[in-house]
Amino acid sequence: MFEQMWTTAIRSAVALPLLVSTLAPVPVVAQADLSDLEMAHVAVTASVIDISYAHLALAFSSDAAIRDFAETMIRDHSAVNEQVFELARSLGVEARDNAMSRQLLAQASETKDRLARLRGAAFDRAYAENELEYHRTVNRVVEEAFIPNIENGRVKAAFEGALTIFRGHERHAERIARDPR
Amino acid sequence: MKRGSFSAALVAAALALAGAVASADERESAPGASRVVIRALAFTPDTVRVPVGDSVIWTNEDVVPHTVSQLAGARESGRMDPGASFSTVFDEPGAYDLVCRYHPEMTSTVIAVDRRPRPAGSAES
Repeated sequence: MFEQMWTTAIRSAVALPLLVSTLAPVPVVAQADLSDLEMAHVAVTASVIDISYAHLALAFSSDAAIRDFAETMIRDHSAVNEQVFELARSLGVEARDNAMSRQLLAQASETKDRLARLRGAAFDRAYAENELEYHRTVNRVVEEAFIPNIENGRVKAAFEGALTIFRGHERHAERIARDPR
Repeated sequence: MKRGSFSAALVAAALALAGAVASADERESAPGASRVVIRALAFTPDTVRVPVGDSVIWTNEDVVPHTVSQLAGARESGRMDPGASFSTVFDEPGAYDLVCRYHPEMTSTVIAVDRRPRPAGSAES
């Protein structure tokens, strides 16, 4: 019953602006109609993708700053996702797969293919720039499109908390993108 | 009330009062502790001033792990998962710069101030 309330009464029309070009690490999503559960799925998917980028960095980079950043991405995004799963368990619901999540995964596959062809400083530079652009874009989506449209108070609070963490990642990514070693 | 029971009550009251005073003295003489909360990728407060000999306790109230790591020194909490605490005593005066190793933009300073009276005739350092 609660889930039905979520998917009907709490369903919100999320008009995502044209966010990024095709070169950016997050796909263009012109218009979406996502429920809280679908937005939660997108957020979890975005974290899973960033964890996969981080594993690539640990496999290909020997730069200490890049590796430290990658380990932080794995640690933090895993913790944030666990918090989402815990919240969903306590609410008796599950995040719901949707077109935007699938589009994110498809785009991420292309990005990983591109990164995997690079080595050394070229990989480090591309990884850092991708992380910066990825966090900028995801943070903007979460802040401008998701949070204003989430109606469940606990879900909104979880997104706001996660956004604070992800903004920190954006600042950290700015640093490693600006000062390649 | 009989005289004997009145005297016993007086003694009991006196003992209770003495105990209360002793407890107050213990609180006064016990080493102090300042608390820092880690939340939203920040140390709050980010600067702490403590008397030499006092400890600082950091508690991770964030959703992600952190560390409390001294930039030039040996103090190191190791990984602090959400809910974990770490404390350390600052027994020498000075300013101690600390950082989260996982999130380098998170910085904090502990200033340990020596408020003990100097022994008579001691030289200024």
